[in-house]
Amino acid sequence: MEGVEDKLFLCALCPNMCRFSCPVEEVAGTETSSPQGKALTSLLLLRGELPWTEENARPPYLCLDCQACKLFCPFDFDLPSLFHPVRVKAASKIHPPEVHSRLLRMREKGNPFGEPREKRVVGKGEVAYLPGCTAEMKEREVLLSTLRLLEGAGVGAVLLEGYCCGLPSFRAGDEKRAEELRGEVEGVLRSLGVGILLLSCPGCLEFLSGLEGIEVFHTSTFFLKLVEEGKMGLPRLSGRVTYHDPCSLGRKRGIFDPPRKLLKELGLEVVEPLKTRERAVCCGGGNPLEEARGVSRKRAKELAETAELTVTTCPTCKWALGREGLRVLDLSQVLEGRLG
Amino acid sequence: MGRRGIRFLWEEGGRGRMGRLRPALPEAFLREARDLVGERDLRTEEAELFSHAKDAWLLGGVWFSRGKEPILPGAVAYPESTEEVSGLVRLCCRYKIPLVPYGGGTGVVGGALPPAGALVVDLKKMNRLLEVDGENLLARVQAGMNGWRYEEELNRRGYTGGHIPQSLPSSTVGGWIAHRAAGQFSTKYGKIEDLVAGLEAVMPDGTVVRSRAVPRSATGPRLEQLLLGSEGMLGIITEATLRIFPFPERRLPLSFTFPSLEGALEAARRILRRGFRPAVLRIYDGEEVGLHFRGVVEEGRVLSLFLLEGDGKQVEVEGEVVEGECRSAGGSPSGEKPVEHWLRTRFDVHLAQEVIRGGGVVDTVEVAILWSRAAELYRKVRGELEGLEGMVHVSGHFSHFYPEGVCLYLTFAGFPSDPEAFYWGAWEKVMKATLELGGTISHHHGVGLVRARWMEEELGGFLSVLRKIKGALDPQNLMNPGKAGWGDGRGGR
Ligand SMILES: Cc1cc2nc3c(=O)[nH]c(=O)nc-3n(C[C@H](O)[C@H](O)[C@H](O)COP(=O)(O)OP(=O)(O)OC[C@H]3O[C@@H](n4cnc5c(N)ncnc54)[C@H](O)[C@@H]3O)c2cc1C
Ligand code: SF4
Ligand code: SF4
Repeated sequence: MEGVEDKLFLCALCPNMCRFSCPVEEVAGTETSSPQGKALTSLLLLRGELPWTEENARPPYLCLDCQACKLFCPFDFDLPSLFHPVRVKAASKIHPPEVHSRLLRMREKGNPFGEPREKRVVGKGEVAYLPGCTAEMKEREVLLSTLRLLEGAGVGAVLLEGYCCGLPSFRAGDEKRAEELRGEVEGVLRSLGVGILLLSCPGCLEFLSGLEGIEVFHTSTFFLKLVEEGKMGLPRLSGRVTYHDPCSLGRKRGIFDPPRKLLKELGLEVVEPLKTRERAVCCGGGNPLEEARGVSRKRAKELAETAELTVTTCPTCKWALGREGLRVLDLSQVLEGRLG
Repeated sequence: MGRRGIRFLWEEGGRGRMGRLRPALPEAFLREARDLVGERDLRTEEAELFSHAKDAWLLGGVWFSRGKEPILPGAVAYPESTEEVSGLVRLCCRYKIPLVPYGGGTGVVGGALPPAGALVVDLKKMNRLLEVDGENLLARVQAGMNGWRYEEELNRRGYTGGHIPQSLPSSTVGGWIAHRAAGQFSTKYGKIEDLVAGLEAVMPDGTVVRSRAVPRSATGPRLEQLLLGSEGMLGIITEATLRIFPFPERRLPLSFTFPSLEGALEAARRILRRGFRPAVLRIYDGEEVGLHFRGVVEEGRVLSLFLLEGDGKQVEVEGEVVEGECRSAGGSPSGEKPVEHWLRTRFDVHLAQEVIRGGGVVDTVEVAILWSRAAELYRKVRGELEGLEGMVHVSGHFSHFYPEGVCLYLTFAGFPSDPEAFYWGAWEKVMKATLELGGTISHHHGVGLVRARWMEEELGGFLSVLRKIKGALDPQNLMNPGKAGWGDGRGGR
């Protein structure tokens, strides 16, 4: 905690030199939604210098974990990880109402949507495919396209349904529940004895990487590999699309080019939105706070102004941006030849 | 500092007793304010209050690191329109509640620090670029717009605002105007006062005034200029029409090193005198070269850094003139690297925080002076600052240039036994020396709380004129009271 407090202290003294890059600050417009404002509030909460109230505990959650600010920080701070200890405290004390329902849903139903679901392991093969909560429950087309693409390429895959990587719990500050959920995924992978884990969701990728003995892939890089190895054929398409970089795939892992390469190989023209690649704006979909919805709206507008169709590589981005009326598809759908 | 009965700033406080310093506002006032701006835009939670109880004044940072607690405002309002701002001002007049406009909170002179129980009016939700008029080279923008976003929006459309302060990532248009700010490219494009073509503001009685953007005018004193440098004491700026420029066709980086400061200054003086205006011109002393250009520029030399920009032909000629004048004043060319290094690192702000975390005291002071006394002022203040107990670092650069003179920007840091005495002692040295040599005590940071005590010497007879204006416009003394040595409106009563 010392290290965290020390960093938060330096950040609290900073004149907010990354303020302009924070999408939450841009839509919320408040001082406590700015990076420095969140750090100052977090520090004071950790030190016990601010009363723990629902409102005071809001700023540490007013962060999308998108790391857009990191690019501009002279200290190279990773703010989400500095807010995390405050969220851990808040999770067991007091927190914003939206976080409260997320915590409950995750505890009771094991997914952020709070809907009931069963755990199922379907099929056989050397690859385990985990679609993740959003692809499974809200964007099922992504899951179905992925399965068909795998089948078409002759890749034997086991589908893991009803499993959550645990990231939504972790981000809400519930480390225990996050560990349980991640443990369940690891358990089923071990029992199946597979060596490859395939993911549709970059959030799962962020949270499940580092499992010993298991190679973890996101669909974008996996499918590119199959195409390059000649195992997967591509349909011919034409038209203009724009591409939205999910934070957990692009900025956080540097995977910018594989999806673009596939889109170009399909014959599509890719036009870049104003804020793209390292500077791409978060979709806001992973955060339950009302302010995050404003970020989704703004990003959807920017993308809509760029091209008639947006392609992305994250079911949560697709869901969050689609909810704002954007025409958006997942790369897996486009790889099947769909453009609408 | 609690002079004249207004309580500001930080007090010794037991940790965790934040509420103790939180004066409550009348319920009826809060209700009316809420009705005006909406529930969501009237905030009273401690996190918001604390976030507005500070700005970027480094002495505040020193106090914070030493466990002092800030005096909190009573509430924070986030108006979304000029009408809402006007309504809030009228409301404060009725209830006699002091109010403080707040932009990015990057001011370094304590100007945005609220008196106890004030209403902070944060402009950041008024953040839109309303119009870009390419034909007339004007942009209409709301006062709470973030500087970086403003410049980025202009660049997208093929223009630049020409105003790039180091605080661009975080400061706002209204804050620039309220402090008469200067950007890093000011030698070519001017300070913010040169860029304002028109304004809209809410006066201390709540009336809204607007001035049209016109090239120049001779219809009496241009009273909107009262708001330039008004530091929130004469009204709230809600909108500005700013001059803009076509995005430069060409950029030329150049640098030269000199054996002495005098040579570098002489070259700059001759360049300006011949009518040339390098967009960026910065002259660093040996200490700053050691601090900011280690491994890039030879140690012990004085560095002159240029970035020329604009029309291609003009830049070419300017390049020849710069080169010729620098060589003839004893400079040796040192290439593009120092300029590239500067461009890459110019927003890296971390040293001050580290000094404070380490228990030190640090600040920067900028003043402006005629060419004839520039080097003398630099030598005098350096010598005096270095003599202070606990001083470990004194350095300076010159960064905004005019045919008649320059801005000198000093940095000092120390680990003294008495931080407060050290801090004010250092300021006293710089202010006194500047006044003695006929300079002005601030080039672009403004007055706030830091420079208030030297304003009588700075302004002479104009101080009482200013106080009378304040008293006439704000007879209840509610607009950011107690600041700048004239923010108390004493002349009015
Ligand atoms: C790292 C750093 C670098 C800096 N670099 C520069 C630089 O290069 N050049 C420069 O000139 N300054 C610089 N500054 C100082 C500061 O950024 C400027 O003074 C800036 O103009 C303040 O803008 P702000 O929006 O942050 O204002 P704030 O700090 O919020 O407010 C400053 C003052 O203006 C008043 N005010 C704010 N908005 C309004 C409004 N709409 N109407 C009326 N009054 C208002 C406030 O009451 C206060 O008195 C720097 C500061 C930092 C911390
Ligand atoms: S990680 Fe993203 S949302 Fe969080 S403070 Fe940084 S820019 Fe803002
Ligand atoms: S994250 Fe870095 S740049 Fe942003 S406010 Fe904190 S210290 Fe400053």
